[in-house]
Amino acid sequence: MRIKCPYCGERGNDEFSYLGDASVKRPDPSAADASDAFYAFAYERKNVAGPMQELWYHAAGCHAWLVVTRDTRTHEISDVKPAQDVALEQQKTASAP
Amino acid sequence: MTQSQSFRVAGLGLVDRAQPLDFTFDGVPYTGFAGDTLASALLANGVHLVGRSFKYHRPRGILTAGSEEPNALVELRSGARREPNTRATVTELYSGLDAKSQNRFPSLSLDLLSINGLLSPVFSAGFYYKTFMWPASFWEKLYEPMIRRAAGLGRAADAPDPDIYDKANAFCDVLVIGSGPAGLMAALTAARSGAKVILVDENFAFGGRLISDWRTIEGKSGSEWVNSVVTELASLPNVRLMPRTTVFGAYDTGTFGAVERVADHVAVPGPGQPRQTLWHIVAKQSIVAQGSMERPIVFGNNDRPGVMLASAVRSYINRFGVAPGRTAVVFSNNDEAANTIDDLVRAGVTVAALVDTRPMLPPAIKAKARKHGIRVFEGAAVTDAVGGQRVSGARIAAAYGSINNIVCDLIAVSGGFNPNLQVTTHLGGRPQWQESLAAFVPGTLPKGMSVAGAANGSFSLAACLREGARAGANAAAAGGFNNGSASAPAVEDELTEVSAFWHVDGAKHKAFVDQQNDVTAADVRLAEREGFRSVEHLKRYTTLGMATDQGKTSNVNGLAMMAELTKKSIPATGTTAARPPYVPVSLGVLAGEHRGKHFKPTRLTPSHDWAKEQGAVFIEAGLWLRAQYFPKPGEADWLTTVNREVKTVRSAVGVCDVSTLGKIEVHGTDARKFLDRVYINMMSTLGVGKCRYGMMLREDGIAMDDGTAARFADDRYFITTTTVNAIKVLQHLELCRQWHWPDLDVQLFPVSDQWAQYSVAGPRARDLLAKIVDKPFDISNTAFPYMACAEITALGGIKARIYRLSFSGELAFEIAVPARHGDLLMRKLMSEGKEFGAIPYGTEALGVMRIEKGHVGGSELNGTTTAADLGLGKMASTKKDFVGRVLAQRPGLADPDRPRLIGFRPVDRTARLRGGAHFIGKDDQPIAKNDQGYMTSVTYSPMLGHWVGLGFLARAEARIGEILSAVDPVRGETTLVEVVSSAFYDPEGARLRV
Amino acid sequence: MSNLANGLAAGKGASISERSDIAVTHVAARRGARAALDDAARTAFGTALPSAPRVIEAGTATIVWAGPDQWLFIEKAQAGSDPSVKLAATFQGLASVVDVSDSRTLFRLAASGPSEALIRGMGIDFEHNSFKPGDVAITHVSHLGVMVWRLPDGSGYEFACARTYARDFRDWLGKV
Repeated sequence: MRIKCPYCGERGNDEFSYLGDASVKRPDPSAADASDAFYAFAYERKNVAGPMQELWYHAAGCHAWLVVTRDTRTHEISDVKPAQDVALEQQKTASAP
Repeated sequence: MTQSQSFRVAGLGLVDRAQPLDFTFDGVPYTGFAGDTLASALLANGVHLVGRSFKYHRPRGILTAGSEEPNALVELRSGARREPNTRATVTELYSGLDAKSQNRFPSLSLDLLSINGLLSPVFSAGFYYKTFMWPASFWEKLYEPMIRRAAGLGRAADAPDPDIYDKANAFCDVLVIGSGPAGLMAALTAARSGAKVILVDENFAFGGRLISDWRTIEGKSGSEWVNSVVTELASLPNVRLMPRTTVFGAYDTGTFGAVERVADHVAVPGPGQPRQTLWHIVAKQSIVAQGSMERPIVFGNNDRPGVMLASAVRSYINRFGVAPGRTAVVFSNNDEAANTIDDLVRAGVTVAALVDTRPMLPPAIKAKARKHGIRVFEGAAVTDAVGGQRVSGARIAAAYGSINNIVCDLIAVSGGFNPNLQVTTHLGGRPQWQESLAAFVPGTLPKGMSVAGAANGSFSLAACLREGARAGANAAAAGGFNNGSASAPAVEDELTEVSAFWHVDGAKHKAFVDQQNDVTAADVRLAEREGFRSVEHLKRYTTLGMATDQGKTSNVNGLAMMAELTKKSIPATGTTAARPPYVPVSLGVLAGEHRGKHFKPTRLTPSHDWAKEQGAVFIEAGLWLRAQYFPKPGEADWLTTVNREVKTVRSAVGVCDVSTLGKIEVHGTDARKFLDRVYINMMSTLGVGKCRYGMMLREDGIAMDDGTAARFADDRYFITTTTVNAIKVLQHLELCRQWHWPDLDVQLFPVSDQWAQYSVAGPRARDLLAKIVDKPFDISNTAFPYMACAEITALGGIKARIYRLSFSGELAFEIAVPARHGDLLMRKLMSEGKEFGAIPYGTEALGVMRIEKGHVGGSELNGTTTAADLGLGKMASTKKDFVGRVLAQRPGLADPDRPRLIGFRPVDRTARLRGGAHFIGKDDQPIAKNDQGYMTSVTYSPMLGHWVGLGFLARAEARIGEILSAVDPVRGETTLVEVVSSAFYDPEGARLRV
Repeated sequence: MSNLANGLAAGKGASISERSDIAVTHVAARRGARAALDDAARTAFGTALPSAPRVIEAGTATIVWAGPDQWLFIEKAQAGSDPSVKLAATFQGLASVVDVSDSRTLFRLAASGPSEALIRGMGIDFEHNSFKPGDVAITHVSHLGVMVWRLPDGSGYEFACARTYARDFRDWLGKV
């Protein structure tokens, strides 16, 4: 499989390491339900058959964390974004009125 | 004496008769020619019997002329290069080739184990499951050795492989797999348009069927046309030609695995030359043009030497100039095979009969047979081959039931053609049944892949050329190369009719479906009777298609027979999708150069050479080699040395190379906030010029790593990790920085290799370092107290960093200089330290001293322990959030009864402790139920004069003084131990703050 | 170095040398300071910093893209002067600056184009003109992390790897 790093270009998957589901975000540690939320964050995952957002790390390349949209059935990758950009975007959305 | 090549046909074939090559088979010398395969050279010498079968030890010959060969497997070469299960049909002949038949006992022609054939009821389908069930102990002692002796393939070499293997990468716009008419046209068309093209063929000669069949293109013979195309391709800079290369797998995103047999066609690879190269090919577009594979018809004794696929007969005649017999019977169900009579006649082989299962042959074929005086049987079948170690006749059942016995030594058989579509199914594509071809054709294809020619079910030469050209032009155009013309040379049309026919009824003898795994028609029927009817069950119950050839000549026949038995259609019964590898791939080529000392890189510290000069003994730590201890002449064993090192450090001064620590610079205006969130303790409150021990957790609350953080400026920290976790911690910190808290202004720099770092420990450490650091830096306890750090210069102007840190419990410093100066600093420390009795010490003494101090190490940070388990619970700040904080408070992890770190000493002070021992109440049974914890680190303490240990014990703090059994089931030892404080030595820490 | 490797290297007339006379500084932009950092770079070096994997010759410094918002500055080492200190001053408040001169080993391969062995050895496309003068890649070869760039004047390639991997990398490089 090959992944198109937004910074480095297309590379073999041997350059990347996989973390998992990118749809789970580190919860607010000060929230009242933090302990349940963190439990879900650490352990609960959906077994997606289809396009899924995943975190990959360009370990042998530029050290960027990436959000990769991959179809788990076909391994087809439809989108790759820097995780930092995605996270900043999410922060902006969350803080918007 | 060399045998004559009495079956070589004058004037035919592409072998180089000016280059005779000597070889031996089972010790008998023969001669062949350059351009031969081992199989063609054996046939040229009239050798048909080449092996014994897997289960029944039946005599076997050469069925095919390609990589699908199920029978002609030999051991090639000898000694360390001996290679079992080498297919004689693809083994390129070389001078001095040495091959042996396999699976015969004691000799090929006299095989005592062929009696297995008489025991065939034992060896029938499912025999493993039914026969060898009871008693269980018989399996290891009796059944398995017996089966292994009786059934088997060749013997692997029993010495390390002396050859080297390489790995390589290639990128192209268009990858063409197969160089028959379709592949050549595809490559040529794509290449002419300017696309970067790679053409691979598993054979050593390009051309596929064009060099095996008697064809004419544009007035040239097939091989002449091939030469002209290959010459043009070779002249183009955008083309890479790769003969002897097998694409064994298609992977995601246009990635292909291929093995190039660089030096398999010579006795010994040249100096430095790899035997094989593993290619990783990335192709924007790929064209599968691997042709088709002929399938046999299943009849009685169809495995006898002398039964050969019709296409193989044509290959041996046309390509190799070898007549595979003197008198032939052609048995087929299709036009292409029936035309084999032309080639046989041309080679001077008498054709005794043309037997066709179809009731009516095309008139053209019939007329041709009549012209040559060949007897024709329409609507007929060969029910059995006659003969033992070689075919001596064919038993033919004619259309109206009459039986005819015809003398022959060759039966050319064809049941039609299976498009060679394995590679199209590697990513999950399912082949589709096409009734008109009586064959599966490629179904859904992976993105960027197309199929052309016979692999696509288009069997005529005209169609192959046409489809190849079109596929080549399309693939090039997909990459933006539009100037290719998709025109193909015109050739005469041909007959390619086929009528499905799988197996002959009324065979008198065993009829083999899968010849390599000895699966018979009766086995398929048995599987059906016993309910193993789906194709997956059929395969697993009978082992059909599970041998090294993966059923290339047998799967479709087996499937069709099952369909008949269950009265279902073939597609309803199953398909023949394949997984990589397409052909067996040697482990050597997968490993490449990564074996022995090249298995992984070796990292050396800057003072490695110095340590070597001192006679240090080294130990692997991750990728590093670290000095473990420094034996002095006369020291009896490592323990003596380590005891001396520890005592010297604790009484004078010692220097330990700690350069292997992971080192990361953490900069930015938010560095302090960031470190607060990744360490359990506060780092933002750390003053500039100070360092602090820190611990990181995983988000699940388990300890991940420990180290120190030093602050050199408001926005500039330097942190260390354990040697083995350096990469993991950086990856974690990058995730935190980029994903969890993207708004923080933090920059991370991995600098593990930048600094040579030494721990200088012992009461005289300050005296020694005072001579190393440059003035005016004041190293006194007042100016540079415990846990201080500074950026200084040393040895007269060399940039340096100094930290007042101690792992040993002694007055200690760590001093770091840029790596290039590490060797110099180590030598200076030793020479300047002489007057204080300075010695170097290794990781072993380091470990002893950390256990004496009760400090945790890798055995305690073992992925199951929390900060509280480690006795570091109080370090965790309650004033901030940090990774792992929330989940560390889960009831399971916060349970006060969890085993906690504590110290142990043997009740009998002379007894030895063992790491890994489990603690059991001293009057309890040593069973899992009574397990109370385990020992993680043990050492002999030279300061205390007895063994001490660290371990985890439930409710540890309340049990000081309790006596327990430490049970080591691995060594069968039980030792009584006393629970004690883990601070064995200088518990007040008085020694390190002076 | 294997004999094959020797042969290939010799055949191409390629020469490999370790660069020992240089200072390497790792520069990473502070959050939100990229535009200002480019201005500072223009003033000091006459060029903005590359945003893509490219290498720029900028007077006395070679500036190599080293990841998003990160660069290596390669300068001639001079006794008594520390380029990382100067860079830290130049980019004060705009970038974090770390001396990595001893962290990485640089090799130069003088060659007008990629040898067959280099093409085969790289996990990224090096054939023909796919990897152009001035291009940079951070990748790995044979389990070793490496940065590679083609010199802007097309006269060769440079490789940077972690110092403690340089022994093994040198073995590999012997083959190209």
